[in-house]
Amino acid sequence: MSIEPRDAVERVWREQGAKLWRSLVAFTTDPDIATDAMAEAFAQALGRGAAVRDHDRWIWRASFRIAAGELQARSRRSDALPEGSYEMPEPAADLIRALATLSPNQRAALALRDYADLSTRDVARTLGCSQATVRVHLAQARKRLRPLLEETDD
Amino acid sequence: MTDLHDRFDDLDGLVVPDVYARARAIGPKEPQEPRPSAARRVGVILLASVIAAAGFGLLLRARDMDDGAPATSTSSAPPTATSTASAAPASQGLVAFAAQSRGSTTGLVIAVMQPNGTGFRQLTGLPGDRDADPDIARYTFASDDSPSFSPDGRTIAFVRRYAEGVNSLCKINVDGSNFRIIERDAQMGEIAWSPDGRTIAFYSEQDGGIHLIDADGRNERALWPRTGGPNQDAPSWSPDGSLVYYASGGIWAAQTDGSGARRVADPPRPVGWVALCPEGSPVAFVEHGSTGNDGAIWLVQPDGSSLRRVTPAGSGTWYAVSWAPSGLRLLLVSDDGTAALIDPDGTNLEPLPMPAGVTVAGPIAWWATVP
Repeated sequence: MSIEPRDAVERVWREQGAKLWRSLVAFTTDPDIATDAMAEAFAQALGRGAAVRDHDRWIWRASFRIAAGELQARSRRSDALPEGSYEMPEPAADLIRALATLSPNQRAALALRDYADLSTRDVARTLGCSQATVRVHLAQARKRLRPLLEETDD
Repeated sequence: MTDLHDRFDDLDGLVVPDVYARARAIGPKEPQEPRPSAARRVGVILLASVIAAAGFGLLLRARDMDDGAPATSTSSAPPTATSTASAAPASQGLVAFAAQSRGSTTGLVIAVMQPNGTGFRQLTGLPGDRDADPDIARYTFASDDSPSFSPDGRTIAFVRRYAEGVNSLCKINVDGSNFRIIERDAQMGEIAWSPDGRTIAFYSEQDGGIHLIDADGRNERALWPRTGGPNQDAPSWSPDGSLVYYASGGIWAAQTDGSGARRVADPPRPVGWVALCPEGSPVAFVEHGSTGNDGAIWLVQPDGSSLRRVTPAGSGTWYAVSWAPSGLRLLLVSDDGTAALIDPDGTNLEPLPMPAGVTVAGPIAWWATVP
């Protein structure tokens, strides 16, 4: 029995929505961008209907691509960080501050590997790069992040 | 010591908003036309003009700017030891690899150069790619990796990854001409071209096993059925084409006629990459340490004997290995995007010279002579 596309999209939200949103927060360091990107990705998935073959993979990938586009646009505009509508609780705020020191690409790899628990292969598929690239950015990100988080542990 | 993985559990304290309600409020949206804006197209043209004058590093960045990928860094990080040509070995043919500019994660390109670091040439990721491959515009993004030489050294097969997890098996001549797509929606990972040129072995993203496909893109079949357990990965052909070696926890070799497979060696820690010497022995492989990122290079004979470590402790974290055509040198790729050469006895470790600002992203293929 085939599953209706709308049901498949809703299942992704029900089963993976929280993980995906928090991963996007780790990537963007901004809950508002995470929310906007994820809502856009789900809306597009609903619009594409049966044209999407693998809803899980498609929505994760689209969410990260859309969020990356917004980060890039903000970088080009040299925007000051807007006033956020989300109050970040500690200790997650410490982690987000440390993540903000990394490049977006390093944050994306870390969020998907160390928080979402995707395999290196699935991280590569989500980000559209090779496993080798993922490994490079994970190594660089962990090297940079570890001392920063040790400082916040003190 | 802080466990980074545990620190990410702090994110579970974030209260998740009802994003799905918001998506429904936005309403189902038609697929977005993935054409770059006029401003971006102008930017690409201007950039291409700069590139023509400024060389390869900028060229590598051009694709990242064009494909809407995550923001790229324009880091002016100092060149690593790999960019110094003083340690260059004698020219011994041509190497091909997936390259990226330092600081970027997306939009890998296929590049070739001589193993002494000279003659660097970018084959893909050029402004003309969109004309040759309409799927780039359709999917808005392309990244190329896993190059493998044809037996005559004139052609390189590689995997192009678009958005939405769609891959194509592609070929291009080593001079950058005659790009063609061999198979669309190929679901491929790492590939290896057979010694007789008729077959390509590849990691299949469909079932996590090694598959074979005719070099014209037809007749895909599993090498050896995978029945659970670790993925089969990193295919490497025997010189006579009768066997394909691969990693699957340990090291395995399967008959290409489908008649059987055997375990070659079962090291205590997982094997991440396998490369059979062009002479037929030994097998080089990457062993991952208990932390999953302590890549050391080892050798073992095809009968499982003479297991010995090649790379000295502390020499680097290596994740891929390949052989020089002579079988006298090994090419290693490190987690930090650099590459190195080493003799099979563990001596003469030296960096592979690399143009400034370019890093290696994946295993390096090596052809014996410049065609």
